[in-house]
Amino acid sequence: MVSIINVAGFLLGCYFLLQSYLLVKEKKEEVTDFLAWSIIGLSLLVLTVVPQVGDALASYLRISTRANTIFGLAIFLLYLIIFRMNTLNRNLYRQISVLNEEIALLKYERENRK
Amino acid sequence: MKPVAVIPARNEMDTIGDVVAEVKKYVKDVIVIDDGSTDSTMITALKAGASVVSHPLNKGVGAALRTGYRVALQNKADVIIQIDGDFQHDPQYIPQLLDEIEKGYDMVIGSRFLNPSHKHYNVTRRSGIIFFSWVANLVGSLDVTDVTSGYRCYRASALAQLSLLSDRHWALEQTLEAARKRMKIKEVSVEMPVREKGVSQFDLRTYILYPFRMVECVVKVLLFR
Repeated sequence: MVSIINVAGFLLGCYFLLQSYLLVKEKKEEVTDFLAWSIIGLSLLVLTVVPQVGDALASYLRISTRANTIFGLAIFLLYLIIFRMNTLNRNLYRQISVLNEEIALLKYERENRK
Repeated sequence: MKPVAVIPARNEMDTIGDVVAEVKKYVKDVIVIDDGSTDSTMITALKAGASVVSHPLNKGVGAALRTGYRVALQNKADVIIQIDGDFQHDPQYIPQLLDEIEKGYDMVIGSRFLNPSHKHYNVTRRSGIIFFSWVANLVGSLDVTDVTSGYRCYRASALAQLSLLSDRHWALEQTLEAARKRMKIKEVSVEMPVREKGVSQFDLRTYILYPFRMVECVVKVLLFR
């Protein structure tokens, strides 16, 4: 009997694979991101299509249920993603500040030369 | 000794012209840093005779001061006077600040707490300044009463030794770093009325975030400067 969560997981896995491929094709995403999301998408597909993999993983990690295993791993992965995105965001903010200053000074020097 | 005045301003078209005119009585070179104003601050400052550097985006007082220091140092300033564009900082105290630099101090801070003018500020703001000054004195072995004051004067050679300012909430960080680098810091009494025109940068969100930013400043200076 296929449960709703299996279907949702399967659809989400397909979405990650297809969407990240299309984004790279449209040059809106890097290949590295495509590979990362493809791995996540494929993992979701495998876990939903072959539930025994989830059971084996749960047993290995000594977590009581397959669902807890998947959620636990997903949360761990989210922490890593958030940390990385936060670092990138801070760096971008700093770079915008630097550019803001440089543009202002270039305009000022150009006006002074007139 | 060549003094240069740096005035960070955002949407101060009502006061910037008068501020520049008054500052020019004491300092020949006046630089206004327009931090992404949406009104005619830049044009008003230009008409008053200041040099104006205009940020395309609003990034905060610290960012504006960073640009101002850079231009002042490029202009071979020996002394940099920092004054707000909203007329809270009366330019009549500029000679007093310059005198202290001539006596050998590296940083001179204009303090509203050395005279009764601080009593016109609301309790929250006053308590915040008193608390942050206490933290600065404790961490930096200082004796300041108004660490958040933006009315300052620096010896250019000393300023060049300090790290680049953060975009926002720069005052505590800069003062602590100056203290750790054993710079000579002096406070002078400056009357600072509550601003009458324009919009203050202090809103509820700022007050709520201030303690966290203070912790960030202290950690930054103690561990990384």
